[in-house]
Amino acid sequence: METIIRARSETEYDAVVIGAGHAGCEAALAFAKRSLRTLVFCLSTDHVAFMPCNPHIGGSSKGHLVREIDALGGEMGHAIDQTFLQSRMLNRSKGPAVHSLRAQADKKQYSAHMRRSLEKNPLISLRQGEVAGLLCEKDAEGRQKFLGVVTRSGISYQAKVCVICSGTYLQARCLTGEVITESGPNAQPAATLLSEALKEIGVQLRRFKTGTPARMDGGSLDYSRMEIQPGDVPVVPFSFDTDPASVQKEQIPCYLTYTNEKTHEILRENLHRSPLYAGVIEGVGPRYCPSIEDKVVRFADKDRHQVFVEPEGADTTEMYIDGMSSSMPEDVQVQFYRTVPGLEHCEIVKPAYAIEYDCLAPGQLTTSLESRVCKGLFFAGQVNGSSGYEEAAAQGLYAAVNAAAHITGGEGLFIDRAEGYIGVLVDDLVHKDLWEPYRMMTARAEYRLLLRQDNADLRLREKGYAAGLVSEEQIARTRWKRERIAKEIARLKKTTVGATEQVQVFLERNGSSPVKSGTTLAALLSRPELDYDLLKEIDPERAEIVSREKATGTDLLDEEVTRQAEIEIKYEGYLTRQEQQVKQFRKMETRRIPEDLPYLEIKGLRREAAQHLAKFQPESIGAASRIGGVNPADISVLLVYLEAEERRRKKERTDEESV
Amino acid sequence: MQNTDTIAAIASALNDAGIGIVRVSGEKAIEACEEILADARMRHGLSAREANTIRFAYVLREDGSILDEALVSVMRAPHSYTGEDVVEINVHGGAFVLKETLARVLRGTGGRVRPAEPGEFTKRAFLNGKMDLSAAEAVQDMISSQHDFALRNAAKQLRGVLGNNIRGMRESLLSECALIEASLDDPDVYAQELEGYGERLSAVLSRTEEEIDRLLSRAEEGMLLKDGIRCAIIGAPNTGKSTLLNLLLGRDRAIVTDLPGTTRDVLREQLFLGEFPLLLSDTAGIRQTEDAAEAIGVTRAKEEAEDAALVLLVADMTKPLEEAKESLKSVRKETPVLLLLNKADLLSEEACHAAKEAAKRFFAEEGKVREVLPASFLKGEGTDALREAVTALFLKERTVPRGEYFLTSERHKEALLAAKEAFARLKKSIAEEVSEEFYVVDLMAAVQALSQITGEDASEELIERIFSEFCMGK
Repeated sequence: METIIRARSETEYDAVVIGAGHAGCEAALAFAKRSLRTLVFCLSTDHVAFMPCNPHIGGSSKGHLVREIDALGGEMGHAIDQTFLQSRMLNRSKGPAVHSLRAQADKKQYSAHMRRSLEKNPLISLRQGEVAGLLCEKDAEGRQKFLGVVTRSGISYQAKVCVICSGTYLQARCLTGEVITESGPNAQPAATLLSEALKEIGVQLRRFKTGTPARMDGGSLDYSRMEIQPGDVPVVPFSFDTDPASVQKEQIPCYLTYTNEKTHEILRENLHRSPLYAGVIEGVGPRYCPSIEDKVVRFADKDRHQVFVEPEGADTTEMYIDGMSSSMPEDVQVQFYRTVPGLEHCEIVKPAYAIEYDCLAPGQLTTSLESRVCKGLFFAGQVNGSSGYEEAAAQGLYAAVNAAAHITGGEGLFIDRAEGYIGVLVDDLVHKDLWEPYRMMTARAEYRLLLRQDNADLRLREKGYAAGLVSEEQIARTRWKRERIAKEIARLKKTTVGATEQVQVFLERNGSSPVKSGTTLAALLSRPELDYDLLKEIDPERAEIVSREKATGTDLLDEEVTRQAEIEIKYEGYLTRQEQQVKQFRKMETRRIPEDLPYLEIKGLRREAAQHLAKFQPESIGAASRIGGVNPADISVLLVYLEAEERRRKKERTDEESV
Repeated sequence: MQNTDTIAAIASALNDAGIGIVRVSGEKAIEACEEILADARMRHGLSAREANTIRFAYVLREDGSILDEALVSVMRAPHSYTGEDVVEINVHGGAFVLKETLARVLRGTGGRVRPAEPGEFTKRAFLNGKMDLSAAEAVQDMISSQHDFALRNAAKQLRGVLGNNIRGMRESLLSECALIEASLDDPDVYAQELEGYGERLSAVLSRTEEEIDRLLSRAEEGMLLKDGIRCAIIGAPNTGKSTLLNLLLGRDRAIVTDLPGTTRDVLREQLFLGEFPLLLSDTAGIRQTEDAAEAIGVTRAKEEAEDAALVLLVADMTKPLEEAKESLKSVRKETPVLLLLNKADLLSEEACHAAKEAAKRFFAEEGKVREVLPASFLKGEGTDALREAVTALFLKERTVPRGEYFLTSERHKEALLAAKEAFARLKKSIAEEVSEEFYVVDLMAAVQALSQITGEDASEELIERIFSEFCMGK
């Protein structure tokens, strides 16, 4: 193996990343792509990019995030493409905007892949250790600036920026019934010193909670009593760089079973032993990921809940019991799990638990994910109040690009709500008064018809390129694809077919009404009952193009291109409407608001609105309008105030000049 | 919000003669008014008109017949109040014609015009540099007080059946969105919920659309969605309440007799008192009664008193005031009350004065009565003082903003029509069997339209609803 020489001072870095989970890994890799020397701390380096909860990457809206991370030059898509056990495209029968990839990961392989990615990068140092203190200095205006970190072992490291990706480890404690363990997920140590260090510099924290189901010995399960859930054939890769041929392999199935009345009865009888219902848990848990006892209480009319049994890896029999997270005592867990068909003789390997941890209180970040109280200190992942590997990874990359810009100057990375799910994610995390861990959902993206997983590269690769994360070769490919799509759309709109017998027969056969006169291929394509593939029959030019291009080997009419052309034409009406909405939206986004407005003193602004605005410090009128408790009249008042301020400043300037 | 939209509203203080202005401002102002206005020879041609001219014009109904005669001024940007192209249509047919004219502007085919937000003309004037810097704070105040007023006014209108209907429709549409979203978000669990969904949604849409049509037709009849500051005339029987209504209206609306308890049901009328639009209700005299029909009337009178933003308490100054005090019980603490001491014609000037002072003392502790005004409705005396008192009261307490009036009903109607438009698009989507996520675009457009009436924010609510109605996540 080739020796990597990391020529550098031992205690001086450009960037420090605290935590090597999904956010931390993307952050470190992004820094390195920007040629910045990066030190990554991890409580246990054997747990890099560890998946402490479910064993899958992607899913509805999360699959979009992975695609966007990939488009921006992140690693997650590559990692899962090389380590998946099974892959499915969800909502395939629906429109393209809600197609979402989800793959079961081999947890160990996934972690190993990410660790290798860090290790083989000469600019990244991975270090096991706990950060205990933050070094900051105050500038002339009393603002704090990040200088470095101190570890538990007392060593100081200087750096220009820091991204904290502490996941669920800050002051973490795990709860299983009456048993409380001061530890991080999966019996990992908790980070017990960083919370205090953050509070000292004025960062406000609060408690959130989440949970995970039991892992079982696969050998003790009876799969014949469950429904088998195979993966898709063919598999669609996550990464735009992955050759689809490389991911066609034998897949490992998942299984589906159900809870029943007996399960629910046991849970109801033992509710008093649940720390959540006994009031032991102080953190706020998410409603979208309820424990099984929560489901039974809140959805009392449902007589069964789905349970998915999923592999944790190819070289282990450990199975993840998806849908049945719990914080019940172990003895109760054994009882209720064994009521589920197929789980009658289950042996629990790891019991289910709930976990509580410190994360940021709302209103403490800028849209760069930088702390408002300390320059150079950035946050990413679950510490920001989100949940999910994909949400974390997206923030890690995003925060690191902005932190890099902080060092090198120039533009950071900004994605608005109409450009990507990452934009929606960051905007919500920064401006919303969240009271539970935030999970991405397609329902949160107002312009989701435009934000498809199939066009993430067309939407974001240029941004990744500008940020220095996307290579020349990658961007060239995206640009070529864009060009080729435009060409094909133009061809479909231009090419007419006559009302010939062949065409009429074709239409009739496909349940489509006959044409009266010549019509374009595009017009036919927009008919719901027809699609691009079908039209091949009356589109002779297509075969010519394909064979011509094959001959020259340059310009292939491949599926990636034709699919985009088809979507653009088929859904043109809806897409155009969303684009108009986006235009309106952008008008508000571009009206900037200066920092530190004296909101509480602005006449006409209602007190509630003023308080919320002061707390979240929106950077644009658009962002201000999305803050809770702010109504349209408040926005109008704000606009008048800003205009008046601008005129006042102008007046002052001219007054000064005339003196 | 967007400064590029073209907006319209009734923008003038209406005086007793009923002349009022419909103001249209924005890029498409002239275009939008072109087809609804014609000159004396019934020719269109507004866009060819020189700026800063005032000319005679007919306002036309949709079928081309004449709605009213008007004076129309055209001002071109930047030489107008708002700094944009502005058309002002001065009509004189009173509140009804004003509303109709505004409706024509809003629903003409010339261009998309939306009802102005509270304070929006002034806001634009300021933002476009048409107002001095020193006016900024006053403008900010005006925007916020007008908005408050509009909200309170809307909240009052939304009490009762109308509000429940609209909220009900809104919720059922949100539930449909939540169902679609849940199915898309967790297809493994909820995908089957969308089987044959188009048919189910069509049924919901038909039902909701019928309801909207019903509301709209009733709005046309003026039965619902009436505008104005809710003002109740209350008092003991036979004190002259109905006479006051007739006097203010200038016509015999209510039946007036010497018999106590003549008015049984609530009579509602819209009128302007000074420059303020009132929705006046004349009620049955409040007293204990054995008569079943009258008792219902009394209960209704009390309800009116409770809902009112302003109460005109009428008392007979020749009689003791205990009965009047009884009537006040239903009035909420914060509602201002003007006490009209009627039948001043029966007493000497001195006695009148004494009665007024006595009444002031009598109600001092109660704290609701702001002003005591001697009057003789029979002789038509006292309405000027009433008008002044109302103006003073509203301006001082800033209960009602000056200058621009927001016909809530017009905005409501616009919102209902927008919901219907969304339904039309939805039906097309369903017929074409497109995938359900496309339905959400228009479902949410309809929800948002209805939300403008109820003043709620729909985006967060959808997420809430998904979580509360569906067991999400694993």
